[in-house]
Amino acid sequence: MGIYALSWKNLRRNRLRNLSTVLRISLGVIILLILVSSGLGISSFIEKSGTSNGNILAGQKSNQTSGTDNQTNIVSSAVNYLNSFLGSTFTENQLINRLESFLVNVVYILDGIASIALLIGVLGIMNTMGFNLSGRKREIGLLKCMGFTKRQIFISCTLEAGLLGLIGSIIGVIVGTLGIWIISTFFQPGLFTILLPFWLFIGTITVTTMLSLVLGLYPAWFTSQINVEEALLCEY
Amino acid sequence: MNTEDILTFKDVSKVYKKGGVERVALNNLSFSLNSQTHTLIKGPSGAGKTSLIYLAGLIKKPSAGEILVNGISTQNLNEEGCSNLIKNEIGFIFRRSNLLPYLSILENVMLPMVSADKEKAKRLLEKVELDDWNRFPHELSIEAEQRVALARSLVNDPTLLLADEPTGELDEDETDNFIGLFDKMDDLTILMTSDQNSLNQFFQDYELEYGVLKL
Repeated sequence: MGIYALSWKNLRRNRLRNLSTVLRISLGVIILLILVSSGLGISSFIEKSGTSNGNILAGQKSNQTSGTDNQTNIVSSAVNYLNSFLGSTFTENQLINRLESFLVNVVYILDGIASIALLIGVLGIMNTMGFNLSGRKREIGLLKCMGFTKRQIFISCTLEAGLLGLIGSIIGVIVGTLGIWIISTFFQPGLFTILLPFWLFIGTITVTTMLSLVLGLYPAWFTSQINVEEALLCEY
Repeated sequence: MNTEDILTFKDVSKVYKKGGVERVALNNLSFSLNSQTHTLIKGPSGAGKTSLIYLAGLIKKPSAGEILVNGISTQNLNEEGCSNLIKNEIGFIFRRSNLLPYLSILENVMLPMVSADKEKAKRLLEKVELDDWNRFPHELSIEAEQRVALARSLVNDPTLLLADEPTGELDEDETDNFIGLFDKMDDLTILMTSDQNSLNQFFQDYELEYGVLKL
């Protein structure tokens, strides 16, 4: 059967613990998808408006020529309101530039929060793998008696962590995409659209799986070093 | 050394050190097991039986002396070399079956296979008189579990079978049934340890008294 097939079979054990880890990762992925896709939507909005006339609302200002000076009035009245409220002397362009840089910062913050959410989700892997593997000492001793090397045991345990990450990220991507589709279909976000490019799916799954593999390294290494004689005397 | 020797111990000693105190488990042990012999090593608890099995199975390194498996010296073998020798030449069974609880008995037998061969695993299970391959270890008696462990140990056609008190948890009838299976394995060299005197009739037996082997 081979030791690497064990990585998959081992997921059948400690089901509740593995399930909670997978769900934690999925939640992290869902938050990441929502925040990053919203950020991409805002960035795309800034880009589109900016390229059409230099900056966000200037694009709307250009509509003046096509007869819709309604929006220009909105910008002007917003500037007037802010100036009177704050006692400032912003010009239209200054306000527009500040708004643009504010939105760019919002995107950075969203991405930052998304990364932290994912990291918190994936960090659980280390804990889960530590618990899972500490309950398998006798089994690891047996594998060594069958001629499996430390390296093979190490790879098998690391793969198990990677599989947890892969399953969690796939579930997260499916549920997250469904959620974003529901939000954008039924709640119509309006000014900003939510963008969900294909690379985001692949990137999220790859990064999550790689992170899981990395976080599984230490528990896997620790397990591979187990002393056979002591392991075979273990009750578990 | 005879070319037919499957396992040779040359002046092997094993000393454990714990808290600055040395304990000699095996003292200058020398013996050879010829091909296709079934040998029983008896001795009280603490006599060094398990140490002997672990040394023969390359799980432990001797403090002094040399061990040869099928004519190959294990003195300078690295982990990879030991691993290959274990896979190709040695089968193990223990006091407890150590079957993986979440694998069926067929999957347990296939676990150490170098290349997966379901039919061979089924043949081995038939050889140890088990035919319900999809059952799980918790559905079996302790003796049946030991038979699965025996089938698992034979899966890579070893020349040497090491059994560390495999009948330790079996009653008399179960022990007779289990040891009876060894009769079907004439082509195998078996080294078994036990503290049960009733097994003498099946084996050429030696007594291990605190690290010293006596015929």
